[in-house]
Amino acid sequence: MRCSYIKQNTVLTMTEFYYTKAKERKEDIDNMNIVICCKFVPCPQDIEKNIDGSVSFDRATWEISEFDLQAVEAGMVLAKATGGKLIAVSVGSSRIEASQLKKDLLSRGPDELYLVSDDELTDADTGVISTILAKAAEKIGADIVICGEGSADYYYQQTGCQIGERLGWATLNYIDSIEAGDGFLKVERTLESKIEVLEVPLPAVLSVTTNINTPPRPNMRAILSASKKPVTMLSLSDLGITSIAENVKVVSTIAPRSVDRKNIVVSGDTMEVAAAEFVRCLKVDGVL
Amino acid sequence: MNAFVFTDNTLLLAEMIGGAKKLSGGGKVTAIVLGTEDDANNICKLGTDTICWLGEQGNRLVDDFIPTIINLIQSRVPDVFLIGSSVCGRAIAGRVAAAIGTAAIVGTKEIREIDGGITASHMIYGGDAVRIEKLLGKTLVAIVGAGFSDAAEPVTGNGVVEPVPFIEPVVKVKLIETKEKPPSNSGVATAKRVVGVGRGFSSKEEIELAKELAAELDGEVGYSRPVTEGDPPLMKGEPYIGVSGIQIKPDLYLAVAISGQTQHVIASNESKVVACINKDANALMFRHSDYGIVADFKEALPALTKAIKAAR
Repeated sequence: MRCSYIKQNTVLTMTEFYYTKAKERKEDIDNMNIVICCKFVPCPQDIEKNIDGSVSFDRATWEISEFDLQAVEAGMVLAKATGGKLIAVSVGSSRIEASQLKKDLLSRGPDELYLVSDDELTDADTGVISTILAKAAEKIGADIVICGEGSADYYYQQTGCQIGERLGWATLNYIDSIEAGDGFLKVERTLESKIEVLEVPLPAVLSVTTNINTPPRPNMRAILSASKKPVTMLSLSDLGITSIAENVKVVSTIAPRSVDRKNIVVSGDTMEVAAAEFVRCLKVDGVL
Repeated sequence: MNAFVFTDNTLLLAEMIGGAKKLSGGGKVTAIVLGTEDDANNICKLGTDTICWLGEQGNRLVDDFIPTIINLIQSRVPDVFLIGSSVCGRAIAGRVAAAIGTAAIVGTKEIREIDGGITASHMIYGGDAVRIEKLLGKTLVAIVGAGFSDAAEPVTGNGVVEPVPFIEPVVKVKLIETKEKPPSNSGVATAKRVVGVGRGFSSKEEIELAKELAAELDGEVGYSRPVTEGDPPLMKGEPYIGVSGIQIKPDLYLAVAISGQTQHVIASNESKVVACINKDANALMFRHSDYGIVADFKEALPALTKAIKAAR
């Protein structure tokens, strides 16, 4: 049987952000630890815009980032298919410790939840977050990590790929479907002009799109059993992280200038008259 | 500034080189190119100083070239690395960012040099805010899309083509097969006239009405997010016009049966003229439009198609 290993010496030549302990390829698809990374965010619709252009979420309700719901469900489906364990991880400020958030996430299927909560992580950049998630995945003993394509607040669409690169694992984004194969995962990835069907060796990190599934609403039993599932707090020092170095610094966050539009409603006695007037306006504006 | 550019979408290349040249001031612009030797030589005509030629893609995945690209960026340390917006582009951005120790900016609107530092702006919160971030490291990795800059003017080039040896990825993802994607409206990102199809449409036959109008306008049909991802989606898997999807900048955008959510409005409000058709007079989209018709699109679209034909 062909085996491929992540070569120890290759890992050691990578930058300090890489891990010196490589994970050997997992040949056995059963009984995997499937880790899903989940972000808790202030509900984007609750944004308040101030007169000076600044924005605030001070009164927002927090929730699971909507794109992570598909990731959790993808993890559930894979766990059921392979007899694996689904473990959720979330990183953020102490707001993520809210019991309603933990229960909501656990009611969607994960067997347990790990939280890395530290107020220094409020608005931490993707470099910091992916470093922490990679270390957590390693500590938990993940065989596969599943992420949403991006988070509902910032939608950077890179955290999953950063985690994979830091771990030195097979890493793919924009995954629309995942199937368990014989010692590998068979995935589909939709590019701009074609669909790639790929064989992914384990361990792997996959970022999934919203096309992958429609997450079901948790039923009463799932909601009730959520509070009985274990939640483990992991500190940064548990993960061997002694300091957090920012990679980018936020200079400002402001509501964009809104474009003034004419707001002209075109009407007429008949559809034909209205349509003719509409076309006339567009011609005058030079866009026809 | 020294800038590197890579895109797997050749339609974006001229524009990205133009953007890189503007950013770099008098600095060096290097294009990383995946393609034939002819492709590489042709890019010299756009005024790049160096072309780092990766060779042809062949049977490989674009992602197979990421270790090679990482090695280039790590060794040359450009100030800016612009990556064209695409699925593979985003994978490259995330993996290069991790390898060089930074956080990439996606959906970049503007890049500026200020006080010896570099900032990049992009939209967040579904388009409800613009965030400006300052790079704290050596290389800004930024994904840019159509409309980022003006296309580079062809110039007589002294560009040097430098073949770059392929670095075999340690971990191999294998391509089992490629499936055809049903032809999609990928032209919508650059079309001059776009007809947007929204949640009010309930069948492919109804979408045909929009397609007929778009054809009469020499334009393209675009979809709002609920149409491509709803439950069930009418046009599953198609790219959608939205802050997390395609952003358009046409002369005319006609939003049909689209409610006017922020994430959609922001992605289309750089249009010269925005018009909308909606049977709900209170739809938010009217507030973001220059012209609107309160009508059922099943009547309005054929009437408009006819009126435009008559006006030509």
